[in-house]
Amino acid sequence: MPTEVIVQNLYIFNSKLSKTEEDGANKILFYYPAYEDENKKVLNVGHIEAVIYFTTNFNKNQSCESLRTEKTLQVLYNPEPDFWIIITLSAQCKTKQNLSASSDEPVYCTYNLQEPIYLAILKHWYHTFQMTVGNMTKLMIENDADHLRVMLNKFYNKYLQSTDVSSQTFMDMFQGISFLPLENVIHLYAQSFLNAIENTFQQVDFSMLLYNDSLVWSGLNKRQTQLVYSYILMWVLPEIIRDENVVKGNSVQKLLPNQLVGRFITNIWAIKTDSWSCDLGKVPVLWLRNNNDDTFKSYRLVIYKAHHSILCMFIKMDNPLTADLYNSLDQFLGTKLHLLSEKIKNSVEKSLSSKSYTDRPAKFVYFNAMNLAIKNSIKSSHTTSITNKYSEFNLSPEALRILVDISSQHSCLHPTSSTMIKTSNDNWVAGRLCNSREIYIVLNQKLTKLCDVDLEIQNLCTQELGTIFFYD
Amino acid sequence: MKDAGVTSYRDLKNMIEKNREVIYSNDMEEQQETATTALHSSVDNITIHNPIVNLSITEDESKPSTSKQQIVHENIFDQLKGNNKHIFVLSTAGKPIYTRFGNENQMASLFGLMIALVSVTQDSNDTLQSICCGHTRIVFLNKDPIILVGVSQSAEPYDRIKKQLTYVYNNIISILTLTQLKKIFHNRNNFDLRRLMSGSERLIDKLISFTENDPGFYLDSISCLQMPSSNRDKITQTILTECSKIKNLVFGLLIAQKHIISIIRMKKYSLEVSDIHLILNLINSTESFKTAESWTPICLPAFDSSGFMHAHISYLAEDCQACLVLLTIDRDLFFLLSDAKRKITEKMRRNDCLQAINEAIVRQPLNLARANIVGLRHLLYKNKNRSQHWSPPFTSPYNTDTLQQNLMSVYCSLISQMNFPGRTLKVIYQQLTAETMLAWATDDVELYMCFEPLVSKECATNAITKLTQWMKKEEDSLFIFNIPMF
Repeated sequence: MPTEVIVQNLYIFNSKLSKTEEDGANKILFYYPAYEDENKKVLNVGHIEAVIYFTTNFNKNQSCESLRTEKTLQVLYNPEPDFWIIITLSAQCKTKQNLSASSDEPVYCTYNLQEPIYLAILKHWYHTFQMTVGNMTKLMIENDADHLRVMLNKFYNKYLQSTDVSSQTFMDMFQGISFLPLENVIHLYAQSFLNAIENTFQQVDFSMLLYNDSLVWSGLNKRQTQLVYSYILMWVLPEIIRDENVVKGNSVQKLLPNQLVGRFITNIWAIKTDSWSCDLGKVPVLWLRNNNDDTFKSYRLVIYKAHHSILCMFIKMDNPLTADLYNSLDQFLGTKLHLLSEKIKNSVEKSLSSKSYTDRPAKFVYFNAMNLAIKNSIKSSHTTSITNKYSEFNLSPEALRILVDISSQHSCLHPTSSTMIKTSNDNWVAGRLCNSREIYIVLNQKLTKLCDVDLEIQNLCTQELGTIFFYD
Repeated sequence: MKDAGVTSYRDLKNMIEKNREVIYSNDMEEQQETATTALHSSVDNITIHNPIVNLSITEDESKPSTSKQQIVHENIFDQLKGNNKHIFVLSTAGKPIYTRFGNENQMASLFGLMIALVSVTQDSNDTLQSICCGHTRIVFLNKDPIILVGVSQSAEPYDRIKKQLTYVYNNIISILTLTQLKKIFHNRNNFDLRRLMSGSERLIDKLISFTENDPGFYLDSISCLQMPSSNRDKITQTILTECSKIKNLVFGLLIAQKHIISIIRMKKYSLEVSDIHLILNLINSTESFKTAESWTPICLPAFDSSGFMHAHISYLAEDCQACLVLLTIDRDLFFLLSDAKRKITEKMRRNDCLQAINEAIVRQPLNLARANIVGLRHLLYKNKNRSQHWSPPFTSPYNTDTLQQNLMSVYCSLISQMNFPGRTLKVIYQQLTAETMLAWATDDVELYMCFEPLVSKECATNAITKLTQWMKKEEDSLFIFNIPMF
């Protein structure tokens, strides 16, 4: 039975912003949908505040995570003291019967809504906000609540527009990074190239290299890499694909008519951009957390593309982006990056052709929490999907939900475990967790014996993840 | 505020003992109950004079100062650390009815919050179900005019906590009937139900313990006393021949501690598992049944929540500790049933049934070692069609209460996963650090097995086949297959 998920609202508030009963609306920092009745907004926030207060009676150390009613699921996230982000979802079953008789009361199937999926979105969005705009508490101290409201509005409206929260599934939970598997030599070559950039240009503090949508190397720590990577995937790659002009005909291009091989990519979406050098095209300003003292520092993100490779350079704020800098960067990078990219291409094609893939009626997701790497055959990346043929079958929503169940059970109860499940439609769903590495598999085969299923899973692991050890 | 209005009624709360009259005034300040004239009236027509207009919660509760409130909250939190599961029952007007731990009078502000949360959700045409906060789960069950709230600190499945609340609710219904409960609160919204319930808190306490430990609760099933089916048939037949003649007798049950020996029923009616659990809890928590035969009104919520049945409860004989429960809808049937019970006992004594029961009670329960399955440590087996289960006694390594509790919670989470709405499953094979679990469901059987952690998958698969064959041989004595009608 298909389930229709609807995002009813998403709001952010800080209770400290309202002093009296009358100014309840003051604590609301962001509210979607904006057209909601003002009283209703205040009422909803008040209700959640009561719930949060109520739960402290029973658990002081952990904050309230979710609230279920017959018709809705509300997921709560408390990223900074006194700041709460809430999302409310509802789910209705679409049966054939009530399609014909639409006047009937809708049938709710809230049990199909799973907290971990939506909590992952709230967290990911918040961290992205922190990176692209800043810390909420700090923004409020340095400016005022209204400034924070404007920023939150810009950010969350954009993300709500571009992401269909209601269709998020198991696959969206990890926000993992797809690493490009490369020969050692090429990998070292890429790494030394990035080091050379950082050495030649003192302005560049960190750099990161992508080949198509896979990560080759990043000088940032894993969390930062994850955030920047997903930012690039969300805002930069689609722009490049949709409109080559972004690359070709922008203002930097006019300034640097000599760009032959590579291009600077500017004017991509960002809340905070480099305002003073508009004529050179806007580049995003990002806040990156310092590993050592946990402080945030802002950087300009300059993106350069050659062949299939995208190079991200983080430049300190005190170094102005001048036409000179652009020019010398272009001259240094252009040919070298193009050559590197071609080498990568050859290497990838070689390794793909050397591997023989047996066609298996199976899908898998591998996630490594140590480096946030993700590898999967469900949402395949552009690079590898060209030659990698997996048998096509659609994962049922049911199987995806079981995967969420397995993963949340793993994380909260058992650090090392293995689970195999036979669903009501005779598919097998399996999950294994060991050393922070997780693998999830869905088999579309009518197998009856546990040992056959196990064998099938082992074969798949050997083929796809040969060197990784799994407890079984 | 004081009011001279007086209500009196037949006291239902101590239905176990002889119906006794209780006098109270409907004084708003509960501590000062002034005794006044007692009027005899039947339960069915409670008369309440001058019902006091409802007070809203805020007016009703005296507002403690913040610091005092803080202390109360600290207390509840401390209590919860020690007690894994808290259960509260209150009326929709915010009056306390029951708490599992602590003094409900100190929880006014907490109850006020609960009511507020429930009613705000209700205002938007919705029903509050649960709140999750780390490992803490707070589950609400709104059964107007009462609200039940369960708080668990061990990340238990929601459906289990909800079912526990339903059981507590059913217990309250079994004392009052739903019709009566609604009537009481319809007449006086802020009625203090504890007046009708005193004495039955103990029953609810015991019922909650039952729901925490008994696999029958997890599996929605009953456990039968193991005995040869020929003996069981003889016993059932004896009860049946005596009872089939009695008009208005609906059900008969023979119980040995937590196990059922035999059930008979009137044509077209059947006894639901949850009702049997209530009866079992009533019998196992009441020592006085052992000394005297008793006549008790009881409402079976799953069977009919609107009216009372009357139960004749007696142990068969001094030398046979099996309890016979005869349920009728006729309140004047005591002497007839008492007579029937005497005849049943006599007849059973003559044809050696009493001895057979005694033997079955003292006999070592069937041990899993007899099945001789490598690596298998423990299991739960449920016959779905009969709603009956069997589970062997715990053996090594499950020697301590904690280990047994842990295993039960692993079972519990498996059962809840297997039957989760929207995604029911057929097989779960789970390798955990301390054991390997296998859950397996067909149309007729639900099986939950606990293996040694390093058992091979092949071994586990074979165990299912082997066990199924073994159960075929044993099930005659483990389950009741014959539930005759009259």
